[in-house]
Amino acid sequence: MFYKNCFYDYLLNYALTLVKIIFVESCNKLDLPISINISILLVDAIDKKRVEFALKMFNKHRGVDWVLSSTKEADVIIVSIDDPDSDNQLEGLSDKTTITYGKPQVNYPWHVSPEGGALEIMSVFSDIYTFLKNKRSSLPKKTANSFDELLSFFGRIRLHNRVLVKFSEDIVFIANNMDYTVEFLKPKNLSINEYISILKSVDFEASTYSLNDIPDDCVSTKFDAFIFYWHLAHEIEIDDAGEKENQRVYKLKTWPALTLVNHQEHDLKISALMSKGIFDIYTISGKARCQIEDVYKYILSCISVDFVDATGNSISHRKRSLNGNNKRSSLLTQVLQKLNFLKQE
Amino acid sequence: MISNNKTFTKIIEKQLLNLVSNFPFIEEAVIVSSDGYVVANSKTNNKCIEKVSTMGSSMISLADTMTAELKMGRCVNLITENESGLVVIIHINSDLKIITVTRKVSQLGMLLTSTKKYAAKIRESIN
Amino acid sequence: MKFVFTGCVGSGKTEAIKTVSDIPVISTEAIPTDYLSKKTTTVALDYGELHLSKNNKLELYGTPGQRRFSYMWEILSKGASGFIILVNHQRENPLDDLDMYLENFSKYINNNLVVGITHTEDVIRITKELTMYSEHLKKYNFSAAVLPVDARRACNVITLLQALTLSIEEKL
Repeated sequence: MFYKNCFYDYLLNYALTLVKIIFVESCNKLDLPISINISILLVDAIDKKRVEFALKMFNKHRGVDWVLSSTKEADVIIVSIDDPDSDNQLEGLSDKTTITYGKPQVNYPWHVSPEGGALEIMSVFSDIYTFLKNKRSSLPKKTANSFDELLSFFGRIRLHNRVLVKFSEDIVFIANNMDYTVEFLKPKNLSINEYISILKSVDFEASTYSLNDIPDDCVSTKFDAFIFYWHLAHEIEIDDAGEKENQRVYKLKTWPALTLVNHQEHDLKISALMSKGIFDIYTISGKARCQIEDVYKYILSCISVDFVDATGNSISHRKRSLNGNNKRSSLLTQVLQKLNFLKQE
Repeated sequence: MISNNKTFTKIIEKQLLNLVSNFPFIEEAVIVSSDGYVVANSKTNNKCIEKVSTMGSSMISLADTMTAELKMGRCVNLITENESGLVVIIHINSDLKIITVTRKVSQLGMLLTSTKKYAAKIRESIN
Repeated sequence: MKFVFTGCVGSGKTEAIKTVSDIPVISTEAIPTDYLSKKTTTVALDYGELHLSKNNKLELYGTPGQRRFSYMWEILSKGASGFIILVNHQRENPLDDLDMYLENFSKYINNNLVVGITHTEDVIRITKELTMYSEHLKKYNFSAAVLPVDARRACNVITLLQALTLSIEEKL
């Protein structure tokens, strides 16, 4: 049990990031139409691939995960204004959100416009996105969890070279996709030492260096743990075959860099995660397939801990409570403690 | 590289052959580099000599490490007294060691003296 | 408790132990006649310690890399709790190197192994290479961490040891 807690202790390193991200995602993005099934009733024999391509581009552009589906499975059905048979096709689907789209004043269907089709279709998707955003209360609720949101978040910031990300007032960073680093910007109301002390209290690798192109009062630092989570996020896909009721199974496409794993197929348990340092790793036991929810549930439990308390007490308290509850002493425990101690030095 | 220098090796081989011919109780004599390669060997058909030579280099290196730890300076020679024989390992210089083997357990003094003598001779001849 | 560092010549075994040991490392080094790019090579063992408590310590042993010293591999492996194989990624056939150590240490390895990849130019972006090593381990049915490591950096070596300790713990 103690090892479990030690392992959980390691998790605290990047839990802060996750918690913060999840928190922000929950506050700002959860109701947005990020993941929906969409069905398009097409009047013409339009090349389906063009629609798929347009949707792919749109997903990439918006950082969303819209999927083309049958009308039965669809959350949203797009009907062309040019379609004389749309009423028939929508029969029995009155519970679906339907959007009629088209430009009656022009003499060609919207999805085969002279602009080439794909861009036009993309713009339609964009309009629908805006429409859904404005009508979010009427949207059918998806079962996407915060891990989906998290992946989506990573997907979005990946689209840009440099992204300024702000979580509350105290964590502001620039995610740099060119070299997979994150630079923290110091908030104006804190001295750099105070900021570093806060970051270190939550196990960030915090060191300072000045950059010429950042204003004088901004100092950046690298946070390595973020990088590894980032890598992880890139390597995971949803396993279609593994979808269960209210529980999504994530599959590692390839074994991520910097991970340790006991490669035993079908073992679903993630058992150990990450320590800090330049090679921060999540130590994963298993597996070609993982239940990220296991990790996620733990991270959720960390939300109750106020990681970014300016005094830095919370995480220390958490660590003490984890250690204090388990007096079991063994060589392995001592080795882990010693190694943790060395790393913090 | 020491092991590739034929002239050098011939000088050492000659000394080794003198050693085993002058002291017939010595069954085997071998010169080994500090990293465990056989440089010269009094017998050419001994299959296990390479392994034994490498072990000898490890042993005397360990002995050096041990005596340094005890602040006793460098190990001068290493003797293993065994149920049916003796092995002596002596530094020739920092690069080379000499290993001699005998089955006569009563010949420790002679083995040590003769090995030391020829270690000095080899040292002189290669300097 | 005893961990053994092994791996090919120049993979950084001695350096890794020196980087984290609480005591001055006891080394048995000689000038190599075969690897001229190296100043010294281990001929018997390296020995370092991590002090855990008043009565306990973690012993860190380093083996010689060359196959001709394989008798030392046997000697040092006895009683070892964990193994760290370091692979010099810059060598011509690093997978062959890995094979040699996996084969020679296989009877001692039982989920108590990590593999450290050294001499990598970019430790962050070697995903493919790490995957290659991981896949290779599968052939031997070994489940082991594969981590890039700079043996000169304490935090790297500690991470390697942490991964190993967690692997052993998992097995218990």
